[in-house]
Amino acid sequence: MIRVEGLTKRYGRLRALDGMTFAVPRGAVFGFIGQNGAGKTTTLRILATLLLPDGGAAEIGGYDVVRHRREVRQIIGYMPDFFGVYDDLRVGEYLEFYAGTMGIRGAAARRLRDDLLELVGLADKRDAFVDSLSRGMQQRLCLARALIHDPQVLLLDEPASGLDPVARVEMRELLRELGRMGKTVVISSHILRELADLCTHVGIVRAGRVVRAGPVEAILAEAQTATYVVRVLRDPERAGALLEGCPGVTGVLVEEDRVEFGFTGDPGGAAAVLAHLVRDGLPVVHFSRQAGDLEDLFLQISREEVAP
Amino acid sequence: MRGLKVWWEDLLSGVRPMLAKELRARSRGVRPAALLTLYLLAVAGGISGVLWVVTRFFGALSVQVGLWLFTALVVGSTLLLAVITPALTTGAIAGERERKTLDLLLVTRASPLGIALGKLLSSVVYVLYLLLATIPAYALVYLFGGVPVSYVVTAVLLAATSAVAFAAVGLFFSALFRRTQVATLVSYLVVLFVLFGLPIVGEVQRSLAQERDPFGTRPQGGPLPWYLSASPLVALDSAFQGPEGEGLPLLGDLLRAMLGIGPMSGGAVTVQAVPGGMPATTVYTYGPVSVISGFSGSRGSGVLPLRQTYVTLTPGGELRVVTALAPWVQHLLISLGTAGVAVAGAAWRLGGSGNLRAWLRRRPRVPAGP
Repeated sequence: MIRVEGLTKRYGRLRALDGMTFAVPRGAVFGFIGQNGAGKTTTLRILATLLLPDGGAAEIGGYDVVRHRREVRQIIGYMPDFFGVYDDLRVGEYLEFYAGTMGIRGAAARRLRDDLLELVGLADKRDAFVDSLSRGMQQRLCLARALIHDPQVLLLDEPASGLDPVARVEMRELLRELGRMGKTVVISSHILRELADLCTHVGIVRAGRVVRAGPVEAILAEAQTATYVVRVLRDPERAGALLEGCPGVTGVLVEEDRVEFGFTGDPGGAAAVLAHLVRDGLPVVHFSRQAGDLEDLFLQISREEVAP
Repeated sequence: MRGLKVWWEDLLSGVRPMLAKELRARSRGVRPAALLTLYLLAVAGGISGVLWVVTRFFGALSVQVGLWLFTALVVGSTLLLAVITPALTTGAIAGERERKTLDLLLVTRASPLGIALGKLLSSVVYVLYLLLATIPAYALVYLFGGVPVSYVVTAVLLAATSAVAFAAVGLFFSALFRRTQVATLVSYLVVLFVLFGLPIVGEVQRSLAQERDPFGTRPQGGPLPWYLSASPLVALDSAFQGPEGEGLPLLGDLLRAMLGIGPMSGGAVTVQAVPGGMPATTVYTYGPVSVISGFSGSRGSGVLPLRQTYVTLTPGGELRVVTALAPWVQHLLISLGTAGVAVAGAAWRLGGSGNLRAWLRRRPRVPAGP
């Protein structure tokens, strides 16, 4: 659905994009991960036809984002990382305005407005002024705006930034719903936990280039080393010592009842490690792989790229 | 053909919602009512002031009172609109940029030209609304009489078109500069220059021409340089000539002092009939600019004649009749032209340049001819 090849963009002497290449299949929820300044926003702005690349090519749905701006705009919904709202409009008027800019008017626009407000959970706010909404509501309103022309592709730049945890969960539910609706979604974020269970595909960006991309499982399989946490009722030192002896285990760290270690190998190997601990009579009450799987990978990649 | 239809639809996708939104937003709150009130108060204050001055210093009401009042109204509302109008548009695009709403607008179907036009139209509608509110005040002029309806119609037309031009200039700078403050500053400098700077430029140019031609080998008089008509004040003054060639009171005297227009010889001269054109007339010559037809085409209604006839004095002492577009027509054309260029420039800055580049890249490259 989206194909990006060798995209370059310079801002003065700064090389924002340096041969950015990736592809997003139809219907995928693509997590675009990278630190601030890695080139995520620049890439999304080029895809949204707001910025012309210096070199390379990008196309969405078969349309080149430079040569076929108009067609691309018809099939994308874009939500920038920072955006403003017209504070002198009501929520309903706001959506009707954007419907108008997409050439939708009259009864169709009003029906669309109500449907979208329903979808993003703002139906009861239709007559409220936009600036009376909370940040999370404005974010959802902006998402509704991006959906107004029923685009096949959504480009969302940090859709959950600046939101409190509750609003963040609501936003995530909404994004999941969009994925179920069969839309191709590109979500950029520097917070990995946010994307880990939402995406079907990820691309990890560093210094204007995608360093890893593919289906989440494939990427995770690549992540050889994961961090595990074990809690025991007693004898954490003995557990630590035992772990040191296991194959694939590195960097054992004992803190009170909590033992943390790095493990390289498949999940079967991890199970073997656990079995080994239990066999030795240790009262294991907790054995888990750390939540931020992608985060580990991300940190790992960051380190390995910095090292040479 | 299909391309034209798409272009038109994209234009409307910008103009229609933008106009609706801006008008809706502008009509909210106390600001519009306050602005209208202030505007009308200023107009009322001006009228009262003129009447007070006239009665105080000229004793009884003279026959000129109608014309005095008319001048005050026309010049006053033109100046007021010149002050108000740029303020309505300088925030139009820079404000969207500052509030970070511009990107959201640019990814829609609305074309940059549609967006710019929608912004311009919304402020023009607002300005026309102010102008409309002053029209009843012109009724006062008729209490004293002495001013044909054509004057009023032409004056309102002039004020409206110069307001449109000023609005478009504000819009252009709003698109050009990132910040509203800069756009506002530059717009007001330009407005000030057009209003008051242009007459000075005209004066400089005139005296330079005189310097270069000390023996008077070129014909004297004739129409003013066309670009001076860009200033609504010059256009207003030279549009309204009394039966004796004098312009508007006060303003006319001021501009005449600046441009060196003034009675030279004075006196009636008979001009031969021009075949198929002017009938034989007796005219009053003033130099360098003399106007014959101030009244001839206006029969108390409609607008002033589109062309004006001037008498110039050749070095041989002959009088020659020259016709040219009337200054107010020139002003109309200049204003609308400026507005068109400014809106196109704003659209270009908004993303039209990228659109054009995209369109050019889209054309298959045709190899150069043999």
